[in-house]
Amino acid sequence: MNSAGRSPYDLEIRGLAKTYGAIRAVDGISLEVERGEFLSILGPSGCGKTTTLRMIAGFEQPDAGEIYLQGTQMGTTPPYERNVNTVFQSYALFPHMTVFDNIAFGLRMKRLAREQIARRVKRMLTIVELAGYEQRLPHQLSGGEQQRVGLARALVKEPTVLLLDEPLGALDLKVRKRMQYELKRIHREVGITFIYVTHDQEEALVMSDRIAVMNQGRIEQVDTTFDIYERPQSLFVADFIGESNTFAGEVVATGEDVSVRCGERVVLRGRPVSAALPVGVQVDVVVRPEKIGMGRPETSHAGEENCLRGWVREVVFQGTSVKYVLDIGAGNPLIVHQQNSLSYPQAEFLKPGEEVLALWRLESTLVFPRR
Amino acid sequence: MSHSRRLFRWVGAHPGLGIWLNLLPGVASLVVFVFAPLVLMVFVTFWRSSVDGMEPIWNLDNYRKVASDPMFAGLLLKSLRIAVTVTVVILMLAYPLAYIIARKTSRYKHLLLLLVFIPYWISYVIRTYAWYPILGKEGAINYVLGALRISAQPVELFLFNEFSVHVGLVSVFMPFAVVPIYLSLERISPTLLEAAADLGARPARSFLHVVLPLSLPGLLGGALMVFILTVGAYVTPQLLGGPSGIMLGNIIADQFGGTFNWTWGGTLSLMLMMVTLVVIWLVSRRVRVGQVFLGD
Repeated sequence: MNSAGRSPYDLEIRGLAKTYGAIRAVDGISLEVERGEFLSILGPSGCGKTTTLRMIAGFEQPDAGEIYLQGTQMGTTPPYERNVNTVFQSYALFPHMTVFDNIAFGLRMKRLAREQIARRVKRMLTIVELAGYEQRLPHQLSGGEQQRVGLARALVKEPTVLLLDEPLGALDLKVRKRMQYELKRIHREVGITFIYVTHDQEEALVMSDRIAVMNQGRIEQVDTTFDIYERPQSLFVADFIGESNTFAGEVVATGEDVSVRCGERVVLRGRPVSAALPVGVQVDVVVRPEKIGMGRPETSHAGEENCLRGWVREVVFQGTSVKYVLDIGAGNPLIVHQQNSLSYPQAEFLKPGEEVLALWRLESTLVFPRR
Repeated sequence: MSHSRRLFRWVGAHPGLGIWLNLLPGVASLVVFVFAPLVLMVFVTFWRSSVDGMEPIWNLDNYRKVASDPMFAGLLLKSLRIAVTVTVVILMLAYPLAYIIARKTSRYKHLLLLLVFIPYWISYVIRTYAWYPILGKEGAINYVLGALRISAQPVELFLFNEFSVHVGLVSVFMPFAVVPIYLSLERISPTLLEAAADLGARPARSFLHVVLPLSLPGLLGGALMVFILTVGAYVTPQLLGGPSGIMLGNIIADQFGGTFNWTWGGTLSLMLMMVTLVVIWLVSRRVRVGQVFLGD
């Protein structure tokens, strides 16, 4: 491995594994995180994301694999000797210490000079916008404020990597949304590498540079937020991130694109995500609800490779968008999101029972081989 | 209209009264069993003892005696010294024990806690007598010393002196410190220790800066409990103390049982109570005493 400080990566993980009894919590994952990156580890509960984070922090010892911080192998280095700091979901502030003492804790452990500690704590308080809160105790703060203290306490040590374990999980929706932007701003300001664990796909999309999607102890895909959303490499990723329509089918024609028969009379055209798919293979076809347009049945549509006749089953007004549930005879119903661009009192939504055409492009149709 | 009905109607018309009526049984029993005897005790300290018991002849003799009698002052100081020593020894033993039960074991927590209390299923007096065959002239310690040829003659230093009083008091009152310390340690979230380690605290510093301050209420509460129980101890010094190990509690007991000087006994009790109250007051300035005894 590279000597310390030379590695282009702040964090490298090689073949990391951890087993609890018969459960493989983390099942051989590898990952590289670049300096200053904001990477989210996203997955459902029990997928191993928190265990991964705890192994990076040093709270858990991996059964196999290695962790490198700026090229230095961590091995059995205890947490207090690792240059990483953690922001906990439960805040974990020291209840008997003031805000100032909480933030100063890590610096005092380093035995820094009193004036230096005061200066760095003060700067941190400004960054997290808690100036003037120095002498408060944790229980006198709101949840959002407590988590800012938790963040300041970890960041003030200027770690190589900041680990965040669902830090906004205990906050209510409004505060959570605001803190998402706050965290992004703070990340830009301090320029430290952030590893952010969450099960909230929207949160991961809003905040991250890249997302690692985990499932059952493995990493399904690591990509930019755009690629994760637009080019998911597996049905799990497509399903977990955003909403999607999924149809089971069989390949009936193949080439650069494939034609898939779903149900009795529906054939969809799409792009296979990886290797070419021979005729006869069982596949899953995925299309995002917002990629689908709708038209009157009597008009003709060129340029949209998928054009299906359907009937409106349900109309759900969602404020910013309208959700239509269409019956197209492909097994599952087709969900379509349309931007609500109407202005009051215009209300030209389709009505249940109306016949429509659902239209979308070949590129928006992802075809996954059945595992 | 019957009287009872009238009463109910009257109570119904004054809803603020309900709470006082609910409190009545509790308040009444406190008055009868705590407050009244206490007041009576204060009264009798101003009376005079006689061959028949007490005579309500008002005087300050007992207080003059408190001020002038060197035996009282000496005994009070001795009792305080023993109580402080026993409390310190108990804390040094109880804290590690409570720490191990609370933090180092997961499955056997409750079993271990139960083990601490199992001796309490046996009478206090019997547990105290149990030190005879251990500390006595023919006891276990002397047997071992003899077998190892450390001493040719049995050592009589272990029983019927201040040493054996300390041993007896420590063994009897230790669980009263273990429980509050255990409860305060148990409440410390393991995540706080992870946070401390994460921020660069080695285990020793994490203990010093996080665990110890957060368990301080339990520590002080346990200390207070043990101190109060020890300073007024009577059975242990009676059985294990011999002539040199006697404490204030024994003298007080003597005034009621042996010498039949109730007013002097009452005065001594009052003095002991005052000292205890001062200690409680001092501790309560650091922690909420209610939190110590009720858990939160």
